[in-house]
Amino acid sequence: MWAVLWAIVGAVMDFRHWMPRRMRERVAWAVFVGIAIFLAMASDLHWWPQFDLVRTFVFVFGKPTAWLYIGKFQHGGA
Amino acid sequence: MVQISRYQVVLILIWTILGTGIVTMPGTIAQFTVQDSWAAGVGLCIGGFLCATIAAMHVRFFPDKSLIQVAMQAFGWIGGEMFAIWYVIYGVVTLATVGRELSAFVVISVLPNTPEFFISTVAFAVAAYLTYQGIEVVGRVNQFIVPLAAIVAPLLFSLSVRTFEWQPFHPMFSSGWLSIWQASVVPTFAYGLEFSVVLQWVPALRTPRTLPMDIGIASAISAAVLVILVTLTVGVLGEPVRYLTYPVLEVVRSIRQGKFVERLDTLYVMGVVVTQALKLSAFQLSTCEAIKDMCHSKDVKWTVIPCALLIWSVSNFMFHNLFDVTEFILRAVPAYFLFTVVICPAIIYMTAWWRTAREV
Repeated sequence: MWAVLWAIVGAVMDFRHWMPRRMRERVAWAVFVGIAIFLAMASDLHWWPQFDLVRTFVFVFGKPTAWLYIGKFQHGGA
Repeated sequence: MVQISRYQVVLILIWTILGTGIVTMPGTIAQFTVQDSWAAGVGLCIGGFLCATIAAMHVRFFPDKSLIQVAMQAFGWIGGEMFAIWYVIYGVVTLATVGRELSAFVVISVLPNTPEFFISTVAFAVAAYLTYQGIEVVGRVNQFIVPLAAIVAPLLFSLSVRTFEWQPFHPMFSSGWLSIWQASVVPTFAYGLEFSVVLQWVPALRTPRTLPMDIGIASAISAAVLVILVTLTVGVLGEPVRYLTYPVLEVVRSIRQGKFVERLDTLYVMGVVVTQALKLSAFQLSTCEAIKDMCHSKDVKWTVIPCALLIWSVSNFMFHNLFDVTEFILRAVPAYFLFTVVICPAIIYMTAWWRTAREV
């Protein structure tokens, strides 16, 4: 019975296409899922509270963005 | 290969822009100017023009290749892979931002007691399923919501126009051209450059040659809708629009007709959730195609689960609150998008064209 149920679920969910087949795909799959789990743990356990990805992006692209604004600006922060 | 029509391309692009355009753009524009905010909406056309120019270069020389495939041709294996990784990071960060905007909007507007990570889980799962079904299904879902939007949007517009006043717009152009330009930076370089999402789907277009015109049509329609929306928002709410996170939501909440017609914000929230799910699926399609090209794979479906997991995780890790999202969009996204989807592709197309011409 479980085999029949599993076959039905497999047919509906189409598991075979969700899975990577070649080695390169498996490596990419593992890297993506690994980074996702790592970031989820880091977020949940408050690892590196000083590290802020938004600040990093602002540090790298803040100056060119300021050029696009042609000078300093202040926003209301809504 | 499954291909989509011009009509579907235009609709996907319109809903991709308006997905967040009908939520955050009026409030973002009002940070810089209120009385001339309507003029900033035209910035979408500038972004659309930049993307149409890039798309014209793409379909002129490489009508059967995606952006990453052209990058592989231009820079070789190592350079192409490096750009592919950069582009995948861009896709993941954009998806995380849109996902966080969606979950924050749902929490603030209708589900204040539900954890935000749970809402984003549901949103990303829906987008992942749409992506798994493929670009043709995403195109059809975009077609499906057009009649609903054609009924609901004019209804909400006409009902809210009762409290509209012209006074907040006077005197016209008094805020100065610098304020108008600063207000239009986000529509131009953050939202307007999102039209470039289509560059990864070029092999799936039935008529790639018409892509620049399709982007032009989509940007013109999106800009027209945005200008109307911003005008309505400022006309109804006036100066306080500057201090609201979701001014359009407040406009819809202000609708009251007699004793029975009120709280139509439910319709608006449903519309926002649907269009943002479509926006997520459009960007996820593009990102998954990039991952597929990066891995030299033939099938795209295996990329959906890892991509969905990663964007969910990044959206929770990267943005601690809604202020982080606003800060990121205002202070980093314009230059980040300009570099990633305009400057880099322009260099890639010129290099690929030069290498092809030299070989011939």
